[in-house]
Formats: sequence, C-alpha cells, structure tokens
Amino acid sequence: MKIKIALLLLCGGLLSPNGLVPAETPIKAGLVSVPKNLVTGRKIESLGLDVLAEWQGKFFVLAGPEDLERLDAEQIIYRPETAAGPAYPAAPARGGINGAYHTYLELQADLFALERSHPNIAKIFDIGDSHEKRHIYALKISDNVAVEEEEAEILFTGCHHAREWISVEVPFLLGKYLAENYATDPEVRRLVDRSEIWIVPLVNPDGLEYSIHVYRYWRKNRRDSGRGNFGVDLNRNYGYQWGFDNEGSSSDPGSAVYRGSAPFSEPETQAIRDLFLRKNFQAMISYHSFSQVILYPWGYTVQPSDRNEELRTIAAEMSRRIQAVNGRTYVYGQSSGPSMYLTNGDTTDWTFGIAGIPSYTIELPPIDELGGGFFNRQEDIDPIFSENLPAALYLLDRSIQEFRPRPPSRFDLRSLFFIKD
Amino acid sequence: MIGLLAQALVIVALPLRSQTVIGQYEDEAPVRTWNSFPAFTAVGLGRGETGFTLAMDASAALSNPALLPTLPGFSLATDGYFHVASFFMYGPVNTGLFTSDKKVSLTGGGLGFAGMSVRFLGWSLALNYSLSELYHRPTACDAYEYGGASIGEFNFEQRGALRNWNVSLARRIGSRFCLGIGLTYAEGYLEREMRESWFPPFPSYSITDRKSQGFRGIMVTGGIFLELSDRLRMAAVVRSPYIKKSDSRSELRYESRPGNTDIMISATAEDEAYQPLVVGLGTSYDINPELIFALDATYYNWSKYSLVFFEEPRERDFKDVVKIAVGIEHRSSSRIFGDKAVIPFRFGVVYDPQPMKEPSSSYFGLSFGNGISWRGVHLDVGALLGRESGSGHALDLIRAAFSIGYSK
Repeated sequence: MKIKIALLLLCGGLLSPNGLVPAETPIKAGLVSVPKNLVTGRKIESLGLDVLAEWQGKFFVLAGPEDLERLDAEQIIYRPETAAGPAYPAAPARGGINGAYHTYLELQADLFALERSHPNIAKIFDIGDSHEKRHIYALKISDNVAVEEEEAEILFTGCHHAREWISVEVPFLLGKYLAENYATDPEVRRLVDRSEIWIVPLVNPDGLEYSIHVYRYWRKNRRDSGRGNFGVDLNRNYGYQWGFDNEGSSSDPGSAVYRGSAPFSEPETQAIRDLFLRKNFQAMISYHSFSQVILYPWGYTVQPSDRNEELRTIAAEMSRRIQAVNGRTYVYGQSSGPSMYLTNGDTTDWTFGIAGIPSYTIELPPIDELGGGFFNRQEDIDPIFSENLPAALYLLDRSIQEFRPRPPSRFDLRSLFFIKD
Repeated sequence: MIGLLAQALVIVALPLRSQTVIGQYEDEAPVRTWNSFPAFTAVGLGRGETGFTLAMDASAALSNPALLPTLPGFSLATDGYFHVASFFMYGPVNTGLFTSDKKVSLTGGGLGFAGMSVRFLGWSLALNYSLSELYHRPTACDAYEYGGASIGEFNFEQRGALRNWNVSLARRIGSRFCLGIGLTYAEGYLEREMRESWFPPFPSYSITDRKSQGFRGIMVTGGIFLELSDRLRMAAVVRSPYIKKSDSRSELRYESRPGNTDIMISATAEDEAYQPLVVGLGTSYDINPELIFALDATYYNWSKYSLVFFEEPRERDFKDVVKIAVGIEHRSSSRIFGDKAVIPFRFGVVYDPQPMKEPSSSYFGLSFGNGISWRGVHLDVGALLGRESGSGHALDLIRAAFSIGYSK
C-alpha cells in the first residue's frame, strides 16, 4: 500500500512541469470571486473548490476551466479577479501589530506582488495547507520559471518555529533580492539562470499567527492534541530517525518539543516533504533563531556523519562570509555538538539522511536570550539578511558547481516513507 | 536552551479566576452571549428574555422603542446585575500555553441600566444608558520553578465593556398602533495585557504584550407595536447593522536589564467590526387577566459579521442564528395600606444559539422572576440560569438582576 502511494506521488510529479500546482493560473481559469452567503458557501464546499480567501463578503476561488464549468452548472455567479488588483486579500503595508515583520496575509501579498512584478523569474506555488487551512507557499526563482529544467535546485525554508519571526524575513528577502537584482547584477543572473531556487519562508503559518495575536513565544504548530494541549514541534516531525529517543524530542503533547504522533503527521511537514521528494535538491538551509550558529547533521546522535568534514568545510566558509559583512560570528558545528543538544526528527537530518545533500540549520541573531532571544529589532532585519546573503549565495553557487543530472531513481522507496530502522 | 526551558516550565499553580466563550481565539467575544441585543433588565430577564411586546419602564426602549407610548406619562428606572459565566478556552488558556481541566468562572456585577421616559403632547421620549457587552476574561497567572526556586511568572488579563447611550422617540398612531425609533451611541474599550518575566538564575528578561481598543459606533433601532385585540399584541423590531470603530494600540516589548536590551514594537490603527442586522418579532397574549404569555424570535445576521484588527481582516466563520424566547407572567393583586399592589411571578425559557460554525453551540436557559408594584414604585428581581451545549464543555451561565423604578 505504501509503495502504491509512493508511485502515485511520483507519477503525480510527472503530470505537470513542476509536479506542483501554481498558486495562480492564467485568466482562462484563475481567481474568481463569488458572493459569500450560505448557499454559495455550501455549493463551493460540495464542489471541492479551492477557496483562497474570504474577504469583504466574497469567496475568492482559485478555479480551473472545469471548476468554472461547474460554477456555471450550479448557476453560481462569479467574477474574474485577476485582471486588476490583487488576486487575494489586500494586506496592509507592513508596520502593523508585529511591526516590520510579516503576518501571514502580508507575506501572501508580498509574495504575489513579487511574482507579478517579475513574472519571468518568480512563481508562487501552493505546496499545502496548514491545520487551520492557511496556504503554505513556495517561491520558485529561476529563468524559465514555469519550466522544470535540469538545473541545480536548492531549498531555503523559514519559520518552522512560530516565534522565530526573523526566520521568515531572511528567506523572503533572499527571494526578493534575487528577483529584483536579476536584471542588473550579472552574478545574480548567472546564479538564477543556472539553478532553481525554492524558498518556503513560512512553514508554520498557524503558529506564526498565534505568536502574533496570542502568545509571542509560541513555538509549535496549532494541532489540537486534546486535553488543552496544542501543537507539534515541526522541527521534530520529520521522518529520519523520528522519535529516536526522548531526549532529542518528546512524546508528551504538552512539551515544547513534542514530535507528533507519527513522522510527518503534520500537514506543514508533509508540504515540505512532498516538495522535496518532487525535486532534486542539492542543498538546503533551514532558518531559525536564535544563537548565531550554523548546524549540520547529525542531530539525533553525537556520532558524526561519514561526510562530516565536507559539511564542516562548507559551514566554515558560510560562517566566514557572514562574518565578513557585519563582523558577527556564527559558530558552526554538528547539530548535536558539545555546546548544543540532541534533536531527532529535524529537517536537516531528514534531507541529509535520505538525499545526502548538504543541509544546514542557521540560527540567526541574537546570540543569546539577554540580547533579545526571539526578538530582533525591526531595524536589524536588513543587516541580518545582508550578512546571511553571501552564505546563501555561496551554497547556491556550490550547488551549481557540484550539480550532476539526477539518476533515474534517487531515493530508496522505503526511505521515502520514513520507516525507522 | 530548549532543554533548560523544558525543565524550567514546571507549572506549580494555575490560579485561574475565571473563562470564555467557545469562540476560542476571539478576544472580542462578549461574555455570556454574542446576541447582546436586545438588553434586558430584571423584568424581561425573569420572563425568559422576552420584551418586544411588554413594557414596564423606560428599559423598553432597549428592545422595542414602539412600546414607550404604553408606559405611564413618566417613568424612571435603574437596574443592577450580577453574573457568573464559565469559560473553557480563551486567550492563552486551553489554547496551548495553559491547560485547565475544569471550566473557570468569571464573576461580576454592576450597573446595567438607568433611564427615564416621558410623554408629552402625544410623543413619548426615553433617555437611557445600558451596559450591553462585557469583554472581561478570567485572569490567568502562573509561576515557574526550577530547582525549588521561583524563576518566572506569567500574567494574562483582559477587561472590556461596551456601553450604550440611547435616545428613543415613539408615538401612538390610532388606538392600537405604535411606532418608535431609537438612536444609540455605543462606546467602550477592550484592554488586554500579557506579561512574562524570568528571573535569575535563568536569563533575566520580561516580555509585555499590551493591546487596547477604544470603541465607538452609532446604530438605529426601529419598532412597531400592534394591539390586535384587547388580549393579543404583536411587534416587530429592527436594529440596524453598524460599524463598531476602534482606535487600536499595541505595544510589544522585550526588556532585559542584564543584557541592556530594550526592544519595542508599537502600532496604532483605526479598525472596525461590522455588527450585523438584527430583526425581531414578538407576540404576547393575555390568557386571562392575570396570566400573560409572551414569545419573541430574534434573527441575527451574523454571517455578515467581519472584523478588521490592526488593519488586517480576521477570519470569523459565522452563521446566521435565531434566538427563541418564551415567557409567562402571572400577576396577582393584593392591598397594602389600602392601595393595590401587583405582584408578578415570571418564568421563561430561552434558546440562544451562538454564531460560530465550529463548534456549533447554543445556550439553553431557564429564568424566573418576581416583583411588586405599589403606588407607582416597582421592584423586580429576575434570574436566568443557562447551560451551553455544543462545545463539549457545558459552559454555565447565571445572570441575576434587580430593578427599581417609579412611574406615574
């Protein structure tokens, strides 16, 4: 049964150029609005349409040609929304309740704005929905962005942990930088032309919203585990050595490092997993905060991996390039090293474990709790991004240099489904 | 760091003093019920929250201004309330940060209504004040211990209220028909503060999250009242939709003296909540000269409700609901110092569905009341006992009110 599902997934990946559904499709289909009332609500639900948002008395529906036919058949009046104005709820300019940091809606608006302003090299994909039905977006930056080319691919993720607001900003700004400098910076053009850069700046949108509106230091996602317990630590929910022990994660739903009921039990990690398995990534960075460190596998054991030196060399170079910008030191080392702690089921162990690619957790500033902990000054967003940019570009360039076309079967099917040995 | 936190977060006490509505994350949910219109004093409360066709004093303008011509030429009344409302899920409680196995209760009381009415040249005028909504939440506080020493504390508080200032005008047209209209200015506030502090030997810092809103809005209430016969009455009431505007302020602050760190994110915004149309129909019938039956049905167009908070729309998946209230009132008479005294006994039931689609939730209430009217003075008490079903937490509700008035 598991193998059947695997085949379906892999076949599904072949159906469209990217194996993913673009979050916004051409006008012949595209975004339409439907007046919101009880009748249309029931019908839209029964038709299984993808409601992007509800706003100002309308459902905003992402509809393909067949969906539009079904709307016609149901005599539901709809109106195209893609021609002018945003195709999603307009978000205010940043500076609201969480200051210069993005809310979910602000990020959604900014991502789509980036796509609109750079349609040839930026494209948004909806790679899954969270527990509370928020979309998890991936921004793809590449030349011929609508086509899947045989190029190096690299993945950047942010905000597995809700309270780490800065970890949304750095990957988003990376995508923005690449898109906005493509036309004028030859080096950016070279990198973008020769690679496919995937950025998921907000893996945990529900948690981020809870962190903004209810409790600033919320860490996990928003799964209701019952008995007043909420949330799974998404960075303990990945499938490689998931639940290896109770030190690197917890089986207690009340714990801040609760690993969930099963590997990839959460829609948010499923979204990253499914994206990862459809692509051929050569490297990945997962941004977190705080403590200014660059970590690499393994996290589940203190034993070094058999490619420890390679991982260490890359980390050292990234650290050097970061320090060259603002003088801030990012210590590097194995994730379970002496100054750190064990983690099992985290993102980088999984990507390294199943694909063998250089995988890094970068813990952004500040360096300690007294320096702000999960808080960063709004005016520090740009400096923190700027210092991390050379490291990201270095890893991207290295991936391009090391790139070899993918062999037909890269993954062991058993590892696809995260069976713990 | 994580390991230390996990060890440190030993909850030693959860002295919750009270809780919320099932709306879970919805800080703006009024205590008790979303269906705060119409408001009732002790008389209507005792009769199952019926009031579209029966008036005792100027508080009639809160439910149907067209009833004002049925009052004596002058009336004056005030009303105090006491309530206990239980909550299970709100703010940080049972949403992830704090857990509580039991419902927690919010207890409070105060002035609920004050008003007067006069009739002059065939016109009836009422001026009144009422407390229409409360946004208080049970305070949550906690302490953290590590190695037997107190290393941190957490406090959550939320307070808020919406007050209505109303002027109503009504006139009898013919012998059996009355028409009334009211203009209400609503104003209030909502303040919420969450503070977390950590002390040595843990890294010493504090986080303060403070949000406040000042509300204002204007709504119109219209009503008609028809005496179909000497025994049968009917009424229709409309409360306009209105925008509850808000001046919102937010301060999120991190402070660490040892780290010499002070980070502040502050914001102001002009927000609004669209409050929906309410339509009510009521009837009452004199079964005999001493026994009155009343029935009110109120429709709330909650599917149109929307909220913008710090300039960002907040998702509220609401549905329209209809509240049903049924009451009876028995009026017995006797004489006190030679003057007639009317002693009413009231009883009622109310079905009060809440607008959230998930969980679908309703309050069922039983009410009773008693009073006396003598030489133009009336004293009334009323109480409503309610229990919620649908959320799985069987939230409780007790509301008692005491009214005193004079009419001539």
